[in-house]
Amino acid sequence: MQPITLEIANEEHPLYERVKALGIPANKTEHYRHFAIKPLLSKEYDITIPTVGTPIQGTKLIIENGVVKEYPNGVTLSFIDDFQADSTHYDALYFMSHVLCQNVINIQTKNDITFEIEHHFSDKNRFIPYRIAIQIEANTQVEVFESFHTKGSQESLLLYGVDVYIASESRLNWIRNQNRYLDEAAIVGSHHYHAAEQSSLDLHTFDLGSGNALHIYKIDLDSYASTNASHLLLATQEAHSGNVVYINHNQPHSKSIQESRTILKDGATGIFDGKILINHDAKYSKAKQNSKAILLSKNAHMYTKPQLEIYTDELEASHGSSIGELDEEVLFYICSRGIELEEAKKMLVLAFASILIDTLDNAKYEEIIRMDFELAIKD
Amino acid sequence: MATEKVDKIVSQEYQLGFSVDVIADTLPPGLSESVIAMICAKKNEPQWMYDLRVKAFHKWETMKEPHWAHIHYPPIDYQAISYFSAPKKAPNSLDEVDENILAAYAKLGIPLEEQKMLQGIAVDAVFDSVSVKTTYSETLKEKGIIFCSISEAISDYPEMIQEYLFSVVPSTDNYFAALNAAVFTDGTFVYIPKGVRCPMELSTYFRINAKNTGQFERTLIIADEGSYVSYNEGCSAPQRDENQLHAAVVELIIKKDAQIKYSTIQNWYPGDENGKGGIYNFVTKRALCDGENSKVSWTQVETGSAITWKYPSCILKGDNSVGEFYSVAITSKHQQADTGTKMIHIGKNTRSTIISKGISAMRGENSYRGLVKILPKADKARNFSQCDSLLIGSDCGAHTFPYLESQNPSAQIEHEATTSKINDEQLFYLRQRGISEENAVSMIVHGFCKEVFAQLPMEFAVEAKELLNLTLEGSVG
Amino acid sequence: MMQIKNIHAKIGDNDILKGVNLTLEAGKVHVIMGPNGAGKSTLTKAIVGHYDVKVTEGEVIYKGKDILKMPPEERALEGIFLSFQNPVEVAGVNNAYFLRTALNAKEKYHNQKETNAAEFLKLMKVHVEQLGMNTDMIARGLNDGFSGGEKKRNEILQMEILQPDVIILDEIDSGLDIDALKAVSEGINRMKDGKKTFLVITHYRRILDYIHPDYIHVLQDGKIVKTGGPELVDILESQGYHALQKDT
Repeated sequence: MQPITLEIANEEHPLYERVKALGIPANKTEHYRHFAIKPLLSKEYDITIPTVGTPIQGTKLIIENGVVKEYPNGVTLSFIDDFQADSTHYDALYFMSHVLCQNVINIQTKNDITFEIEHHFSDKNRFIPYRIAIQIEANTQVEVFESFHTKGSQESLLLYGVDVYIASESRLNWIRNQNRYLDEAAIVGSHHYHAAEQSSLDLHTFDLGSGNALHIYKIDLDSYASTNASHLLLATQEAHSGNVVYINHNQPHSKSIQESRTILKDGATGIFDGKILINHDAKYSKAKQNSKAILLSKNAHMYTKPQLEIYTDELEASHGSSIGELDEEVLFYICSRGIELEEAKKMLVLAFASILIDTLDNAKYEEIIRMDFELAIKD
Repeated sequence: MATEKVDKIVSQEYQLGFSVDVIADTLPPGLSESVIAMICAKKNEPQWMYDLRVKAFHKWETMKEPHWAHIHYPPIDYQAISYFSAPKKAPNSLDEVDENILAAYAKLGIPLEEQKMLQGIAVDAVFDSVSVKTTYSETLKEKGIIFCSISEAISDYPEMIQEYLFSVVPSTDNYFAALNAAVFTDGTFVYIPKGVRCPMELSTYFRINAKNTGQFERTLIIADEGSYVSYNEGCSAPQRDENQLHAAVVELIIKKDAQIKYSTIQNWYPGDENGKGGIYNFVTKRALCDGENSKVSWTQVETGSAITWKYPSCILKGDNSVGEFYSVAITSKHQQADTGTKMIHIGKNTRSTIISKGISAMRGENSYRGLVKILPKADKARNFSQCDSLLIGSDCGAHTFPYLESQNPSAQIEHEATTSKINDEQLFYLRQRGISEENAVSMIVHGFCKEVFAQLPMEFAVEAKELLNLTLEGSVG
Repeated sequence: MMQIKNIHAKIGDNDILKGVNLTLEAGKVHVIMGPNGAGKSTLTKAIVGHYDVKVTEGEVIYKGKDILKMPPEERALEGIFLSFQNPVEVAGVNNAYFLRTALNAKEKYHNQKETNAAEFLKLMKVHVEQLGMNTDMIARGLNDGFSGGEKKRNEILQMEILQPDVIILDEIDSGLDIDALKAVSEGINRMKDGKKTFLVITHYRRILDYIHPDYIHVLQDGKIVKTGGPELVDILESQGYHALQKDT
């Protein structure tokens, strides 16, 4: 049993120096501020480095405690011990997870495909680091639905991440549904998505419930690449939950649209840290970011940091952000029609969230997420 | 559009770049307890002031220069800076003022003689580190208003200084504030008594002159209950090759129902086209809205300096207190500005407004950095922020780093930001009507800044327009 | 007044004008009609030096000089005025201030005494009222938040105050109701003094009933394919451009 420090990392690993240079995150590390990372990393864990296992072919990618049990038909699965990670990533735990996980789970798609990723995690006091890499073939359409099943994993920490490469003219639609409770493992996900020329990434994330989770993204856009990202966060009880999303426009005509919506109940803390960087070469790029948060309780805290960093003049960029409570006038209007205040509030909260749920273009997933949302809000 | 032309417009030779020969009574470079002792001796300061300075100095020695801002500069050798410089004579009347200094003010457009006749502007002109001349004190004295140099205040009003100095910006607040606390040699003190509305705009012009002299001003303004004052601070510096450090501190205390309007035009030497020279401007400005219904407005037009590091802040402690921040920052050549504000909402129904306009041209880097923080007891607090950036040319940068934090569900924060370049369609439209490209750019830039200029006192607004190289001469409409 | 000789012009990589020849006579009203995409707006943009249009061949002779080498503001100062199809909005730049700056620039260019603020305001008020505009527009931002009709009236206001010699009206009539159309036409007619030249781009005959053109030119596929008197409008109306093309 030991805490997560630099000492557990292999000094020989080529990315070890990057972890060292960035430093293991502490409470003042910029993009971990307000997440309470320090207590999380200083707990004593049973550290388990996943093995390769003997996966079978099926319909889903199922990962149990870091070990692949099943992988979908129509993709090639391999394990890579010298994966070329993104050396310019800004997050120390991105590198740390690469250093700790000895075999990156590597999925190569060939054709259009839809599949689900299930993360199963059931042990107490355990720390499991693993990583998934997905290479999307050019000119294809891929849809991924990612979910977490972490019952019984209290006092544990799941450190994972995905490295996704979307080859030119492909389209990836990624939906992450994370509905968890306080007594389940905390999750830190540190990801990298690279959208090549003319490709597009739709990233829709749903972080619901009272569990602690922070997802850190770096999204790189090549020329004419675009991303449409949305993040719905519903945090309840004492949850610390958030998204850190840095979108880099590296080449001309790239486009990003980002919408974050956060609902905070009880003593929850929500974080949205979004940075849009438009490089000197990324002329004619467009970026739009919007974040909205609703605080439903006196003890809820919201931290928003919508940033623009711009190095060229041929562009359009804007962001808007608001933090507040439900519109009193609207509440009054609804109540005046005979609806109870609590019910009226629920209606408005659901309406606020629906804008992100109803636009997934997939009735099945919309239904799953809507049900999870309603469960989580009652919690 | 032709970028060379635009570059020319935004980088016109520094108009106020001249230097004046004055025999300065300057301490040798370096900082130590004995230097502080010499500063205290030269200023005839009491022991308690010396103790405060030494305390700040020891704290400063343990601190690290902050580097989180989006600015880059070579390391500063703090031991190569001279921490005191004063003109040899301390004149009592205008006739005694060094002719060169008077000539310098004339070039800056603020001849002291004429100032007296101007519409009620009292001028506390600071040359290097010592007040040269304070006018209008008599008129102000009748109302019970104190408007003097901070040195005079230390000797004449020690109780007030001991109570309020370092009360808003503690001597150990940050690296530059600590340095300032250890070595500040002059600045302004203003006290507006209860219920008094200051009958004139109070102005101070700062100038940096002697070679290798850092300037460490300290300004303290107290607006007692129900009072009002509008204070203008304007700056300009002669052309120099070496970088000059400026670390000023401004503290404002606003009591119940009182209001302070603080306006700044900063036009220090920005360095040449290669990024050589120019002033490093590291300023800590903070206002404490202590009482109910108190109000503070910061308005700034930042056109100069090689580096600007400045976040005029408002601590909204009193219920219903109001904080405002209006800013225009223009960076061209190799200038870098990292500026913005902090609005800390503590009291109920506190309101804040932030309007920030950043203009980047050539290789200029302009960052807005702001914090809006709503604490748990700030019921119904409101904030609105609007941060717009205008880019001229493809080698410049514009960045927006807002931090929005709310710990109260009844509070409302709204933030909007846009980044755009000068619009070709607009430029062409103006040119088709016969307006030269230079004037067309000026017009558009000025239009972009209008909301902020509207907050400036009239005389300042005129100066601000000139500083942005605009040919506007008073609006017709 | 102005000779447009063999103008070829591109927008991006597309050839739009393919040899336009046109002589504009002093004191006359010339109308250019033609189907969408024929190059009408491109021609006006070429004359005023818009950055979108690249003239690859030909010249525009005005006052003995080829104006194609002049920057846009110099062409304006020489008396060429374009009423834009979609006048751009410039927030923060006051209408009156803008227009006085333009007027003063012209006065300075021609070594005339510059109109001062007070004189200008008086002049402007007269014209604003004459055009049936709301006087509060004087203090508003340039075209900022104006309706389509207000923008077009504002173009006419600028024309009346700047008193140009060659007046190009690019679809001045589009999106105007009947009252606005009348006000705009009256403004145009007030400008007729036997010396000024008008070049009117339009799709409709409505405005022609008010401003009485002298010549109708038909622009098709980047060339003037037909020139005639006002009677040409009737032919176009009954038979369309297509018939005309067969004709020539």
